Amino acid sequence: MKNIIIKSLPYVVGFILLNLICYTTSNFYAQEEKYQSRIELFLSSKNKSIFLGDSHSETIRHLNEDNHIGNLAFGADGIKEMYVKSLIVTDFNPDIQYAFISTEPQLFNNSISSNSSFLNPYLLRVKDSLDIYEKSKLNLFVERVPLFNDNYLKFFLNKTLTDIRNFGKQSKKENWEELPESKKKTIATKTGKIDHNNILSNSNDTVVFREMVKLYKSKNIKVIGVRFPVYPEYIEQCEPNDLKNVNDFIESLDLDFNLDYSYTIKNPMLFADEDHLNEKGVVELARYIHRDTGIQLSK
Amino acid sequence: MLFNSFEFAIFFSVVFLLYFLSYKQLRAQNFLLLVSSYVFYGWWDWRFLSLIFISSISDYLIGLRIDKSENTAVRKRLLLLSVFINLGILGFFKYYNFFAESTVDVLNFFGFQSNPFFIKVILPVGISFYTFQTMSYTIDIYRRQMKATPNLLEFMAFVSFFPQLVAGPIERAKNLLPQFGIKRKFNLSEAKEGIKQSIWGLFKKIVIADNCAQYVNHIFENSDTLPGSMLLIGVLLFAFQIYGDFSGYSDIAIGISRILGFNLMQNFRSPYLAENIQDFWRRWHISLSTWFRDYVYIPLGGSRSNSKIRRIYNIVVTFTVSGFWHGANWTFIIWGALHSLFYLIQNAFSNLFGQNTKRPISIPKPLSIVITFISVTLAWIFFRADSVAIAIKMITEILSSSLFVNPVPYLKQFGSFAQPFILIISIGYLALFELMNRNASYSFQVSSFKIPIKQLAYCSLLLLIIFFRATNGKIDFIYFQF
Repeated sequence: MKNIIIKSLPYVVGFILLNLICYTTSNFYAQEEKYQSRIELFLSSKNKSIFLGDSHSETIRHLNEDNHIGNLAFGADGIKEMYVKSLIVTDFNPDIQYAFISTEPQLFNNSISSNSSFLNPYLLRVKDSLDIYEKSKLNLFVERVPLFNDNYLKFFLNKTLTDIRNFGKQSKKENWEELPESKKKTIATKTGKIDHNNILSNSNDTVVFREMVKLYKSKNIKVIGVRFPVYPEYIEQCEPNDLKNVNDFIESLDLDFNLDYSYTIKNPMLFADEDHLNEKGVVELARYIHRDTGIQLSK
Repeated sequence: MLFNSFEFAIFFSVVFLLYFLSYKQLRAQNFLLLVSSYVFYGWWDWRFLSLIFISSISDYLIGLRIDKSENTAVRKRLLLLSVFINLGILGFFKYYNFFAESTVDVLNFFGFQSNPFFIKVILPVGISFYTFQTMSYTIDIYRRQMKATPNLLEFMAFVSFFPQLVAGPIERAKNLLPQFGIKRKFNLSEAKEGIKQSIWGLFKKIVIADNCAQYVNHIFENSDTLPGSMLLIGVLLFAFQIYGDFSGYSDIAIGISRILGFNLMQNFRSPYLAENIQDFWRRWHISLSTWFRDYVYIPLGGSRSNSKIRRIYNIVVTFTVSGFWHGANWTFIIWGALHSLFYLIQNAFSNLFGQNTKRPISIPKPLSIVITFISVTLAWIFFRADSVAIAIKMITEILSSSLFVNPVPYLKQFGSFAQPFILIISIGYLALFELMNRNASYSFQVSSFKIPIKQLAYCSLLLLIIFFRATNGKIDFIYFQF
């Protein structure tokens, strides 16, 4: 037995060292810190409004200079992450009156969010009756070890592969504002195609979404569905039938407000890229929301 | 509780510790194994425990009675009772709905309108494995090949032995049961080998099988919209998935048993390096193929029948029944029948052009391995497809001109799946060891290597498991459903 322990010791030490290196050097854990600090900030404030969704909704941060809007949206979040955050919201903040949830079709594209493990500490604190990630408490703990965390591993492999592919090439990020309109439209089409693949292919997405809305309604919180402005070439890549099915589903939820601003803002100067508003664009959007719901988002 | 879960790691650590603390008392060791096996099996659904309990008690009692009795007629009746109980449990849970549906289909075909009565039951995991294991016990006693055990605890621990309970190897009582009657002390060299074999099995499961599964599931689910080239990729990957999944389970089961001081039979021996179908079945799921050989093929007359037709009949029946053992679906029956067809073709070829004939044709070894692999892979299509119609459509598509459609754009759509380079590297790694150790008890045999190469082999295996393991959630072992 002693012999086995001695022989396996270098492997154990190597494994621990590898984990430490991963934890301290990876952007993944920097992102996790940012993600969790946003939730912590929300929990320590008494916001009346909350925004949930992916990077489209996250642009609302431009209005949030003094943190009067609860912004829990985060790039790459999916429906499951929105649901878990809703559990946190309803459990820890009794002051919430309005929940702005993203109703965009790309949320229903059955992709697996790399953010899910960021929510592990919270899943230990709230009761998730749907068990959406199908993780036992033991799994939630074990995933703290980087090399046992599937999301970290995916991130690591993708990044390594991208680095290898781009080795020796100079990366130059083009400034969106300086691009000609035709190029912007081409990019919007390309991104739209990627984002609107496999829409509603996973029936579980609608179950979770419905449950999330039900949760807010049970707490008398008004639910406002929002579709953020994007380039027309982006949203038009969603198959008409898929878009209709998503719309029918959203209609069936009987939300307090169902706001579709996909085509509302046409001025290219108000976009940061093909599917995100810039600072000025968000201010403009806040005006529309105020007009349609009477809810003041900016001071 | 899957072998590749943290729950199992904790479970096994606790069992291991208690097991060797109680090494002085055989009864305590066996009792601990029985309790831990029931916990392990009950983890899926505690109601399944009643089945394994009924099977154990009935075969224990029947075994004793058969052993005591000198009356052949009584012995035969008791054996039939044991077979009836075991096949009754199996038939009810696994085959009832299939027979109900097939009967109604036949009645409807002849113009009689009838509605099937289906039962809604969950198929208990591994039911086909332990029912076959206990049946072989009573059959062997009936044949006077072994004595019945008077020790109920040992027998129950043997039937429910957790490492091989849900997916084999299907052990013979003659081999495994006596091991429960001997005190097991910790054996360092056996434990080391057991750990290595388990880690190799883990690699086959979570790196090979689970990474292939993502592609295979997607390709088979969308087989009607994909070109032949993609379907061929799906089928080839399935060949590696099922091998990695099932032989991986067997390696872990055998490895864990070795740590606990038990010696289980070898279940796989580089089957894709088989030179013909007969050779394939000497290398694939050996515990099942020898079970069917001993309890079905030989009792039917085997190859010793004087009539050629009878010999063909024996082969077709044995393979077809073994196909049906896998699942209540025509796809499995055809899979088994196809193997018998390949076997018969190979026999006919060898009778006409074998080394002892007037016109001997010698096929180079690598070519015969490739031909066998293609035949086996073709049959896998029926094994994996949801229906016979889908399988035939897939084969038609693979044989059409769409086989030459560039698959790369389709592969790019897979987005979050494992990168193809992961599959290529890991399958290459597996193939390397299989080629080096074609006839070994398991292929990761590195003991004879020089120290730096040995260390390199261990490190590379561990790194592959850590970095190339599938990351899209836990996937059940395929053979659990059987």
